[in-house]
Amino acid sequence: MIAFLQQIVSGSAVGIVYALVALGFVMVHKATQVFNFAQGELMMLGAFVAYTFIVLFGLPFWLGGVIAIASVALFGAALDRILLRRMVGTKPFTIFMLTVGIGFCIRSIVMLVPIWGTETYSLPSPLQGKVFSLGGLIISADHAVILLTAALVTAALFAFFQFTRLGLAMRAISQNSLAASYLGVRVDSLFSIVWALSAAAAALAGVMLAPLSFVHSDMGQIGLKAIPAAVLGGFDSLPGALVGGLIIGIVEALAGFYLPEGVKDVAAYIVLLVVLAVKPRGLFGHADVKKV
Amino acid sequence: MMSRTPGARFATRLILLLGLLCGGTCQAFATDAQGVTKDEILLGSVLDLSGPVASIGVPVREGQDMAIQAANDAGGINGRKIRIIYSDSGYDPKKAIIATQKLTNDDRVFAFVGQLGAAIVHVTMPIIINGGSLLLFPNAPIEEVYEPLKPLAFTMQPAYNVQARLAATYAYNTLGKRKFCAFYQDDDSGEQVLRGINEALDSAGVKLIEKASYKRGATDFSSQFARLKQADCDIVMFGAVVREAAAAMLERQKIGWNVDVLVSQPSATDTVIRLAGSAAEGMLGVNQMLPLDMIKDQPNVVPVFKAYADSHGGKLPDPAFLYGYNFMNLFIEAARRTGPDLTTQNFIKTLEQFRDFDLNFGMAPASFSATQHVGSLSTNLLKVVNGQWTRIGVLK
Repeated sequence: MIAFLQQIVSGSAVGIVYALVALGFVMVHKATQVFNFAQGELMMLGAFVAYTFIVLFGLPFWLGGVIAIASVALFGAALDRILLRRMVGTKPFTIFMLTVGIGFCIRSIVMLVPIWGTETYSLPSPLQGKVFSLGGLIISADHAVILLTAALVTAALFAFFQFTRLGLAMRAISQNSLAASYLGVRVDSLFSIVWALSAAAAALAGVMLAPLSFVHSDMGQIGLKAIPAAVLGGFDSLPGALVGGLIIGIVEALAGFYLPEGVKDVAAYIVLLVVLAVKPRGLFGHADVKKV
Repeated sequence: MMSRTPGARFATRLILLLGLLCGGTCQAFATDAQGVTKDEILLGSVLDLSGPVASIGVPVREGQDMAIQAANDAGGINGRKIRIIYSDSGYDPKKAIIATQKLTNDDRVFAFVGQLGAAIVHVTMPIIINGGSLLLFPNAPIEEVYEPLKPLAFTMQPAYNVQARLAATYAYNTLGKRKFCAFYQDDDSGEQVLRGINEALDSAGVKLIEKASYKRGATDFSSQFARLKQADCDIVMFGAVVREAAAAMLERQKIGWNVDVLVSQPSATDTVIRLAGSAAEGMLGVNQMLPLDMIKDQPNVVPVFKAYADSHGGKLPDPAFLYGYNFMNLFIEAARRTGPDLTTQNFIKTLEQFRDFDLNFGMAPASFSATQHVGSLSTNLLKVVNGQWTRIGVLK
């Protein structure tokens, strides 16, 4: 039983990282119908900026993290304003390829920056190495912080979307941006805010992942794991992204422990196929119905 | 007196033309000097400079370039300067094939030095050899480079299974380990390490009691280590790469499991210690190349690392730099010993005379012969003591 719970805890922590990246995918797609393939690279950028402020400039971890999240959020908004807004009206595939290109560019630029480059860096958290023991269950402090932070972020996002005017406006544009604009909602500005929030979620994932997996230019590959999480949850559901990420993380951990060698790497995709066979729109997805 | 008939004139011209051609081609056959002119030796190298193993390709290039710069600044090799053409494979075999074809067929390079990646070397080696260029010291520890022997191919890197076999044999015979487990990357390099471990264990009449793999880029190893701990191994042999090895050592520390760990060459580097911190203490490893920290204070190494640091913001080079620097210097020494008449055949004959040639720059001494084109089959045995790699032996 202890071993089972151990895998649940470890899998949840990794799953939360997938979930945060998936959250960014879903936020942008829900509002703008754009699939942002550069989400993983935004996560990587967040980790590098955090490394720079925390390790190179010596700032406290929390402050460096906040600066990283804020600066990558601004970068996300700038991507929308400067590049993506010009692509309104073009084919979705074109915009998708643009985001693929943006991802490659971010990675290449990171490799060219002299203080970053192609090396791997350690970004230790203040709680690095500390563990709690709970009746035989070993929980690392880093994992506990990831789970707690995710719970707080989820609550904050829920409150934002439910109880603020801005959140209401964003829900409106995600349902019908044309109708929202007729009602006076500034759709363009809100798109930039969505991109900023999505980039912030990715950067937060990067800051939380960095102490566990180090900071390096290949970190963006996590984005590929986050896509099944978003699809599993339903590509237009924010809570679905979180649940999807958790499921992927936990399934991988349990498969890695209990099932034969090699199954861990495909377990999450098998679960995804099974879920989509039963619920094609994902666990929390729903069909859009437009009434004229 | 020469006939002035049309037939005779034609014959005369034909003989003159053939004479010129023969003179030119005979000269070419005599020197066999592809890629060599009076002033220059032309080399090629296909590296990953932007893809998934750019973290190795970029420092390899830096090492090669520093060695070339030093040789050219000292007047070149027997009056010839070295020029190298790099091509970025992005670790894509298709791009590597096209680049290699261009370098060997169009640019007609004398040799490819430091070609990077097992998959890349596997597909480009036939092109290089068929094109008449030498394949020298690729960064690809695969057996096919030297087994069966190919006249134009030389390497300093035996396949990973060779080192893994030596390591597992040491663990069995010297450390007395009997319950072996393996933690390895689920790709060719990891499978090679696993093969070497199994070869050693088969000879000893034991089997692996548990193995756990991961895909490249994995970030969580809690399930793998939980399984290995449950199997109660007395040693875990790693076939992992730097980042994943360091993360795995942190996981081992987190679950409070003090099992002995013996890592393969890619993980026996200073970077793993830098990333894993105290979790790396006591780790054993095998590596043909000594870690940077072990050689950085040598009198011959200091100026090289200082020159690197001056142009790289005070940093020490990446461990992969040593491969580029040493392999290029090995080529330079062989070309120098060949002398002014630098042809492919003369170069091969010279290199095959090398016996225990030691550059004293962290690399194992090189010995080649007409029947052995792999420069060293031994490996350093290392251990992390007080946060630093220390050599505790040599495995042969």
